[in-house]
Amino acid sequence: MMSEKNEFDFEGMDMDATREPFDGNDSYFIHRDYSNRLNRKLTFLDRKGLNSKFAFWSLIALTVIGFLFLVVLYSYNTFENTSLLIDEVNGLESAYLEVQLLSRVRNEAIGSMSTRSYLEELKERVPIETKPGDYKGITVTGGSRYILDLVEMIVNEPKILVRKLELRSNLGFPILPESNIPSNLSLELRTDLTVTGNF
Amino acid sequence: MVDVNLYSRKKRVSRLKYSLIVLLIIVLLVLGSRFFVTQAFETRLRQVSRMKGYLFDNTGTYLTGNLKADIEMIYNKKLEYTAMRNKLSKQVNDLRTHVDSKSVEMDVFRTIEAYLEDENAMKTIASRIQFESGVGNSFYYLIFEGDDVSFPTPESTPTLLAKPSVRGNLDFAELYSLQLVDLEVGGHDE
Repeated sequence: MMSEKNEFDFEGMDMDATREPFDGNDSYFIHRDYSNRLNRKLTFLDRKGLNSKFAFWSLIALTVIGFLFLVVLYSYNTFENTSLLIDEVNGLESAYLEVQLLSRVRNEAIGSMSTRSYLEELKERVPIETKPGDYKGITVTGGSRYILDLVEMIVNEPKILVRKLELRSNLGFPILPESNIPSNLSLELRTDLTVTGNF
Repeated sequence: MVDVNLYSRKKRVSRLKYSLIVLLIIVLLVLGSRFFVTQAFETRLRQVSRMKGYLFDNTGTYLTGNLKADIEMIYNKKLEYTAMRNKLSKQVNDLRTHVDSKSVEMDVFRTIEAYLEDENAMKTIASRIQFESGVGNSFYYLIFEGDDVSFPTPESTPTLLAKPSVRGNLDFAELYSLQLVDLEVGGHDE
């Protein structure tokens, strides 16, 4: 096939097989099959040709460039983007799980402390507000039982932090926690409190 | 002698038709490879989408298949959740600090109360109770029957380290003994 191709000048392949090409008396024989082939109508694609080396290297170059851009480069970019996407998804998952965990911890802590809070009741006995802030110089005077209950409420109130507390009596000898001393004994509570804004 | 020259100056030529056929095969091969690669990445993306389905459902995101747009969307959502996490983390830390301070405060008063309820004494008389910066002080008297005076001991195990300091013992008509105690609770980095 290659030898045939190489011997043909495709540009001038319009020779009729039955016609004598030479003026001399030389006779030649063309086999019928080959004669049919020679008589076959050649299309544009049959007649046109490319330099073999050029065609070979062009196709090699085309193959390499085609693979490089359409497969290798595409794979590289897509792989990189997919990896980045997976990293971002993992990062999102990690942040999401941490948010869930922290929300649960916060809600449980706040829920637990809020149910134990009696700040509204305390506010009626001590000059403080429910809004967050520091309340300094609070002084309350009363009977020993009343003041002790008040101290217990302040200490057990989850929304309040005691910055300073001082408990004294007008006698200097209050009896705690129980007293048989007459009711004219009074205790003085001086305290600085902070109402938290955390919950 | 017959001179046979097999050398030809004619350049070898490939038919355009065959070249085009080879070109077509190459194009098909390249496009086929590209198709398989695309399918492989799409399969991976579908796997991710399936595996992290719960995450996408809960965060209101979904993968469209456009990698760059998906990366940007997930990145923005991650930033949103990271900001939320930082805010929650700060809240939880503030709560923890608050609870720690409150625990110290409650432990100081519980410990003072435990000392005031001395099981060996007949009576406890507290003169002064103070609390500041996590440290509690109490000055109190313990009344014992007879002259059987013991060192201050709490009724229950105190939750904080306490330092009772006995200032002196007094006898009253041989019936009672009075013990003066200055108690300091907390502030010892237990």
